Amino acid sequence: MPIQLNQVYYTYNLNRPDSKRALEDISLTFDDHCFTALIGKTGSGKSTLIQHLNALLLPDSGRVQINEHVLDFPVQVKKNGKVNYRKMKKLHKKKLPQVKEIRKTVGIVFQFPEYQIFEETVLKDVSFGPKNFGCTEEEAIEKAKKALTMVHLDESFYERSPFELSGGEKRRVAIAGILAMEPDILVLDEPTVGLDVRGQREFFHLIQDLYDQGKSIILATHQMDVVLRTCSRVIVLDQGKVVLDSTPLKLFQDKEFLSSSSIEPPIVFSFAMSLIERGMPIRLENIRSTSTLAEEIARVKGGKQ
Amino acid sequence: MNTKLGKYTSFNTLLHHMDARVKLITMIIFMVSVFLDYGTTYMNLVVDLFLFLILVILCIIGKVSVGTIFRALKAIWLMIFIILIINVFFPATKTGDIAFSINDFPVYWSSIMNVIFIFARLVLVLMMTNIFTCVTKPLELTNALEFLLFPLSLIRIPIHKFAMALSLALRFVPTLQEEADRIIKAQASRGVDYKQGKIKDKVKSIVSLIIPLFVSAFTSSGQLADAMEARGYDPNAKRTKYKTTHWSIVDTISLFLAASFLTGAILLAIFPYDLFSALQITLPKLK
Ligand SMILES: Nc1ncnc2c1ncn2[C@@H]1O[C@H](COP(=O)(O)OP(=O)(O)O)[C@@H](O)[C@H]1O
Ligand SMILES: [Mg+2]
Repeated sequence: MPIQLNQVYYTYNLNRPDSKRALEDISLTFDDHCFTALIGKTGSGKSTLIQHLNALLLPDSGRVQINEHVLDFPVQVKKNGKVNYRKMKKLHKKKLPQVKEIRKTVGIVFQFPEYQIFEETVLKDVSFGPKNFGCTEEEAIEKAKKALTMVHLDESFYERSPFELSGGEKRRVAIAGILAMEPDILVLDEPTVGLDVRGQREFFHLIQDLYDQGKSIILATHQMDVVLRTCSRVIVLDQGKVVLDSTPLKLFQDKEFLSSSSIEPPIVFSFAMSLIERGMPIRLENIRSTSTLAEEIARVKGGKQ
Repeated sequence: MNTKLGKYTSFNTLLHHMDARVKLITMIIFMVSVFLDYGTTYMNLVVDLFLFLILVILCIIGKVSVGTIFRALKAIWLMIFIILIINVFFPATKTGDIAFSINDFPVYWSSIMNVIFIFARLVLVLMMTNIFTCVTKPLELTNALEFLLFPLSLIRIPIHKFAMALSLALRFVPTLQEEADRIIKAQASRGVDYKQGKIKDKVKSIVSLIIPLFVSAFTSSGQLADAMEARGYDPNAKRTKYKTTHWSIVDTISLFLAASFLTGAILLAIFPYDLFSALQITLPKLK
């Protein structure tokens, strides 16, 4: 099990009047080669949770394990049963040498990843990550080229300034910057916000490819059609708590839960459900996109496939 | 995370509710009284001590952390040390009592007292500015500044434009902070370690923060200008206030106390009164 969270609590601005509890008692396991969706309203704690996955944030209390690296912050209790905040604070001040290794294993693509761009050429910017993790110049360039090919940016881009690229191209450069580090686990925080439809489609193809190559994917998103099409597991957060941990198929059939948590199932799925209600024996588990729905209808009607 | 030096924190205290103009005036009065000369260094230190006590009380009333202020002093220990060295080895006066000697080199009491005096002034100025900004919203601060600079508008200096520029700049401090936070996290995910590494790596990691920060600052300032223009902002128009301040009895009392303090300080500066000789306490001679 590459990632395991145990009773993780996190509060922003702890001990201040504007403190805000963002995660509460999170216990989750992410297996090897998983494709997991993380959904929930804005402010439900998705980004906060994601930042715990590569030690950008450390839990106030709780335990995070990434492969063999353990970040443990057990609750310190005084003799009288009260929480010993002083001791907890001390725990957080300790140096954590394993952090670099963790960040190499878990790559995070943030909401607007183009913020991280700063070099004068695309190739240099993408090779920045590998260099930080101890690659030589040549190795880093090699990895950068490979990553740029993955995001469909060809050689003509190598020497261009990243700042004069279009929004979509910039984002691809930024993602290549993470891919070049060759993380085993790729975490994406609403990565397609602000991309056009084609950019989004290409992007999800890319993620699917990476998954097929053996990487684990954890994806925070609001796009339910993507969840249905690609993910095998879905975790729903609400006010910093895990309220559902299931599969897309089960989630989108659970009408009660959907209405109470204001999640809208994808149109394809609702359409298939109404077809079933009207007596068509469609197998819901086969429905992932419009084309699979069409195939199902054709199968039922006995037409050609 | 503990409270940052000089950062406004919204508590519900007397100081937070006071009129920003009164707070600004009071701070200026304190500032002036720190830099007045009360005859002897000893008397200056007595006034400084008095002021220090007032400021500590204000810290307690306004829930400002005194600890944060003293932690901030860590950064200037080196400066204090250099001042000490200069004062000891190049004394301003070679008269007065000698405190002790290092290898026959005399160290004068006046040198030591000078350093203490400079240190005291530094602490006081740091404390008052910190208290002021901790209990005053940046926007109120600008409004107060605009109010106090009002006479300048009589000679046709466009202070409200300055005030607008200042309030926009202050408005963007937290935004930039958030932005920097976000960039630091993104770069940390790419393996940047801002704390460790060789000098060359450190420079590189700072560059990887500064450039994106500038890019986003320019973008957001451009967007802001567009948004202001789209909503019809005219720099030459007469400005009205969205928030009117309420003058309360606390403000009146505070203003009165501050004014009395200033009067006292000026009187003491004009008619020096040596407390120590009056009480017949002998201290090392400085001159
Ligand atoms: N830097 C921060 N300082 C204070 N509060 C924050 C900060 N970041 C997020 N929060 C708060 O924590 C909660 C969870 O936020 P976040 O994890 O960003 O949610 P999501 O990504 O699901 O939109 C929100 O209520 C948000 O207001
Ligand atoms: Mg988010």
